[in-house]
Amino acid sequence: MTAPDSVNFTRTKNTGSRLSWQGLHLSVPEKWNPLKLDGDDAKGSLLLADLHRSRLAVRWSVLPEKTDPEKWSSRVMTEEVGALAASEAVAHDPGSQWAASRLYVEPDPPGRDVWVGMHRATRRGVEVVYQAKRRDRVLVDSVLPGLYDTGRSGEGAAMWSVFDLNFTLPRWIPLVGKTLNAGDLSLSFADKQTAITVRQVAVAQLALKRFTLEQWLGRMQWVDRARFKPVGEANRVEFVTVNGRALAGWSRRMVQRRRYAWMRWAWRELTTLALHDVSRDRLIFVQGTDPQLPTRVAETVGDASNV
Amino acid sequence: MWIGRKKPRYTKAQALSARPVRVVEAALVTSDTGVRKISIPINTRGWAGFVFRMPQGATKTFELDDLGVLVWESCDGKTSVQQIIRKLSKQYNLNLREAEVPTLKFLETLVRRGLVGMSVPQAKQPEQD
Repeated sequence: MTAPDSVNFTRTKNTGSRLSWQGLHLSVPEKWNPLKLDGDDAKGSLLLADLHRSRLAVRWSVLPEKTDPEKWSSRVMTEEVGALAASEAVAHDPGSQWAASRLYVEPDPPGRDVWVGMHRATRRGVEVVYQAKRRDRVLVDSVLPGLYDTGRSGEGAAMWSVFDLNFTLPRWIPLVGKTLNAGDLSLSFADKQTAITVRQVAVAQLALKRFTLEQWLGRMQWVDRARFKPVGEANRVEFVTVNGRALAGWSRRMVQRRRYAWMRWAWRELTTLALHDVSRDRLIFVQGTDPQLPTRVAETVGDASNV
Repeated sequence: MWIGRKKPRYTKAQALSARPVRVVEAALVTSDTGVRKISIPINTRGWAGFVFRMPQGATKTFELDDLGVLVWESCDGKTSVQQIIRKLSKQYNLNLREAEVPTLKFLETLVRRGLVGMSVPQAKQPEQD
């Protein structure tokens, strides 16, 4: 399974916001926001809605090697729109990466426009359902050209983008937890080698009225105080992100308490960064088990230009 | 299923086009520490006033943050819920969804506490983008 290290999104640059979830990348109108995000990279779904109604649903699942993409595509389309409508579906490949891709456009809206296809590299079958209230070309002109699948891109970087929290992990680490509250977004990732949590709090100017940034760092680390103890004072950190924004804040290490030393499988230390992104008016917290990883990830937070 | 969720009285479109209006006379006061508060007079005449021996002129105070102030000041009977959400989203650079959730929650609190009433248009079509 291979995927390019860098994906060019220039075609869809002005179509709105980006959603990158479980290796699936979508460009959607800015007013559409995720309402429901389920599953993992092997099988899952997401639902996007605007203020008034649901707009777009995406489902994906990795197809076994023996599955014929054409048969799968035909079956999924029939299940979604019925046999009669499925026979009217036409081949539509928004890029050259999709096999057995079919598009059905509802001739008499309101109804559903459906696109199905299997990514050649990742073998993920993707189904996109657009709730068309009137006849428009949002699915064909905006959504499908921006659809890209990088899946578990091996050693390559993994881009995540949901609401306005976007960052790049240096490699694929499975998502193990998510908290997507209004104004407080947090994604946690872990595998056998490392664990990392990225959290973004909005609006920073209001959050800093309640607590100082150093206090926020303390609150972030408080959750793990039972098993880890802070080492020394917090250090001042400053660096520049990949797109040139200055981030300043605090960093502090925590090490495992001695009474847990027998837990050989548990993490030995945690490094937490608490940063103020002045230009975006957000607080960013990155906590990882590898001392270098939080800084590498924090440098990419808020960079929605490239994968 | 006959046991289930109660059907909401209003549709989402109606809820978004509702215009919240303040139903109590309360001035927004900024304290020395910069905290903004509204004080509402408590009715001391009823049985609760008798039982709890509330003094005349007793008030209850609500502390508002900047977002709360923006929503409170927008409850003028002219601005719709949807317009408040858009205003909040624009002013604080938030997604519509990120602005929608706290706004609706805060308005619900204000309504439950009897500070704000809602004027719901009956036959209004949803405002489309």
